[in-house]
Amino acid sequence: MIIGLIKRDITLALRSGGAWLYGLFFFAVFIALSAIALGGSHELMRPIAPALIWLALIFSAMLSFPSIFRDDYDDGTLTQLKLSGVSPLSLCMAKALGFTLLSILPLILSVPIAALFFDLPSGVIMASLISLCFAAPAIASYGTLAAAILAGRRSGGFLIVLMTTPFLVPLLIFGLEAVSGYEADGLAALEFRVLIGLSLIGTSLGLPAAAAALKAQLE
Amino acid sequence: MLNLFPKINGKVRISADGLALSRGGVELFRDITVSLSREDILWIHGGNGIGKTTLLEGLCGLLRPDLGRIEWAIDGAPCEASDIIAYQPHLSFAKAVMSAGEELSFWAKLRGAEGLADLALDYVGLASKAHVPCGKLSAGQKRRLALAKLIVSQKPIWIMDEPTAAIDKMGRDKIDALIGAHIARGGSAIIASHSPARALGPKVRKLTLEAANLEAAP
Repeated sequence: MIIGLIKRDITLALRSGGAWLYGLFFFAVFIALSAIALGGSHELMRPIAPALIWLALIFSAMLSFPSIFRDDYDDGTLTQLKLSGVSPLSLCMAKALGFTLLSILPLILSVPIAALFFDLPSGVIMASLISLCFAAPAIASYGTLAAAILAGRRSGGFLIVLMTTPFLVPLLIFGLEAVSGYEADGLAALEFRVLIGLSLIGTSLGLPAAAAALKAQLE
Repeated sequence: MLNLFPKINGKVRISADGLALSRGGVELFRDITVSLSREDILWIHGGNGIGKTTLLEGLCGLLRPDLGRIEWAIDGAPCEASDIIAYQPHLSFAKAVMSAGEELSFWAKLRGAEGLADLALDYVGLASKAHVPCGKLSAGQKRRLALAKLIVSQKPIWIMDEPTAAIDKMGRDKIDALIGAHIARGGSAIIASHSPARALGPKVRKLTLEAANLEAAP
């Protein structure tokens, strides 16, 4: 059932005329403009490049959060899924997984290209990729939670940013610490374990909470 | 051979008592009593904006009533609304970029009736449109696709919001025949419409919603 829902979301996204790539486009523009704003000096940009990449990814993900449930809420698909006996938890899991595949994965895959702007050493690129992969489940879960709480509210976009920011702060802190820790300790750096822990908390609390919020929306 | 209209054996029932529902903070009606059992048709009649859709959503368990309670039951045992109800809203919920065939087989698959999708599409006369995106179907074709979704849902109670709006005489006869077939196999239906009730089954009851209903209340 979950796989069917994810497949449908992917098909819908691919046929949406590129709307699902807005996040990636935003990410690319953010990186390019940052490089220009910092004057293009590699010495200046290299130390802060992982932070810029992380910020670009988080902003771009925030931009896509409101669309997680919007269309399905507006056209009544959520109602019909409920009446078809799809449990809210399965639906939220499917949505979070679909979001990871459609909105976060393309960003993570484009990190090595973004790294070219900043002339990053391969170790830092690797560390950024791994830290983002470990944080992705938490980002998707918190996004799904906020989107579920605000489904059906016209001006939800602003509130979604406000609601998810506090949850994303620890991810940002430990994600960037992990990138610097990777140089000394490799994957054994403590911060990677913290990131995994944060992701586990995010999915195990965020998704059931999202399911409960969605259930309350639909009655 | 798969049967599109298998006999429904269980005794399903919706009963609602002293129901009051509101939308957007405005109470639309109160003290409505509804009871529906096997082979019943409940025809909800009333003008625009009177609260027909709100009542239907309440009966589907999608809206919490302000007062009163709604009970859904199979063979006397209480169950979830989603166990026995298929709801056809006024607006089509088909995704514009999905083809009619894909759309129907998705919903059929969710209800564990994948084999019925092609049959149902053929039955409502859309077999030749299976590859046409839903966004390119005409209003009547969209409505027929929605009917096909009701068939593949295999639920005993169909709740329909204006099933024949934007449909010509011939299309309406076809939809009536379809509802008749559903009633004949032991199903039941709740139909909201602003056109007068038609005798689609042996037991048709009418419920007229009136604005006066609210004014009379204390």
